[in-house]
Amino acid sequence: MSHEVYEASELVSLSLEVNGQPVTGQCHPRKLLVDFLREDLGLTGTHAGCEHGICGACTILIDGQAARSCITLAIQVNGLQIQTIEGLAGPDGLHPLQKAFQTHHALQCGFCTPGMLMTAIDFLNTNPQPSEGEVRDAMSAVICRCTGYQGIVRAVMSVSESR
Amino acid sequence: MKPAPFAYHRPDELSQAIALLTEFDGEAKIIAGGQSLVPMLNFRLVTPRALIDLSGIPGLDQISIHSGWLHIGAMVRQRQAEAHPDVRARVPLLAEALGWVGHLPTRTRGTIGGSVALADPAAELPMVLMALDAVIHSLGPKGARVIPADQFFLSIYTTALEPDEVLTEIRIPLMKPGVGYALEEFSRRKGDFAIVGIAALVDRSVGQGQARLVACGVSGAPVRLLAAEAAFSKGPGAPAERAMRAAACAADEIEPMHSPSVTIAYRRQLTQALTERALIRAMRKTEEYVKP
Repeated sequence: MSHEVYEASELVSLSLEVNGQPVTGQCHPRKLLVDFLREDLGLTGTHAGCEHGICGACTILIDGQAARSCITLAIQVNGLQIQTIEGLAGPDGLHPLQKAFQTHHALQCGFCTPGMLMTAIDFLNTNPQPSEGEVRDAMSAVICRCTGYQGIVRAVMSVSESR
Repeated sequence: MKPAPFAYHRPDELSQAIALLTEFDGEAKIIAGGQSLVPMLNFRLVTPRALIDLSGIPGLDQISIHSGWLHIGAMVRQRQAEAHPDVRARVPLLAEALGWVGHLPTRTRGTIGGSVALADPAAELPMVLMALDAVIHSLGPKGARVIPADQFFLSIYTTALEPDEVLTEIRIPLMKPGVGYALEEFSRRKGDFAIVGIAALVDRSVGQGQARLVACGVSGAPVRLLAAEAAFSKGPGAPAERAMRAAACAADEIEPMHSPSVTIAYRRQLTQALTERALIRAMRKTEEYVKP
């Protein structure tokens, strides 16, 4: 490693892995990760909501752990592995958690859903058999203004129970 | 809402980070996890000329135990510490406190050092470091310093760190086995900063149970609740009665901040309720150790 320096107007070359694919791009130091994903990589499934780390709509996985892409600079994740909502469904169709959201009516307008799903993926990886209280606690990391959370909690619980 | 332009430095030695702070003379900001700094950049509440990212400096992300102390490097992520077996077993109050810090996705990147250096008046970690008699290690152009937690947090977002100093490590004495602990807080939404938070330690091996109480959210920096501690540790009566009297003392001795949404009377009321709860839960924890 060496001392890296980039001027404010300088374009930084980034190379990272997004949804299992190597990706390169260029951006200024001030570019937020959410904007890099949406504007530079065209991955608009990650939503920019509050843009200050409160609402959770922009949640993605960095090296397998959920994080807010609106309060992370793109330059900070240079060389790391990113997973976005676009990488969730497999060749056989929707991810079980996505299916559960559908079954349990865990979305209405859908704006928060990408963040909900990425948050729930990480949560279930760290706590595979949670109590309902723990699910409510974990899903409070993402703000939903439509559903009242009942369907979201049921969807996450149903996936944990089927494991 | 996007940050204003800034230059970005990612040094690979601490000495370079310090040289940069001196060079930019107050116009550069250190970035650790960025979970408080990037929102402030987005709002343009801060518009530094440069960011100095500590993530390229080797060795700052280590957690270790040395002769009775837990060492936490400046870049240790909150989530990393929360899950660390040594933290959970030897400094369980810190592990409990980390569960209250933001949400899991913000703890993924947020660091303990960053929260401590920011010194938000309602943050849990400064309160817990004061309760545990932690020390903060820093490095600057004049050399290294060791600052006790009770002299580190001065007021709102203000610490004893000089503008050209970097927080390098936090050291916490391992908790004595058998010491009861509890953190109680209230916020309007889960994951928000506390309106009031209370950290309690009860050592049953001293007298009738010696209490240590620290509050956050009540004023510019975390405060020891000395009158409440004395009421519990030295006052008459059964533990539950002493906890009740201590809680009344706590409500009385704080000098709460006024804010448009939280009245002074409400902050006192919360302080009283949470102090009593924290003391009782800490006492119960000491009983768990006694059981076979």
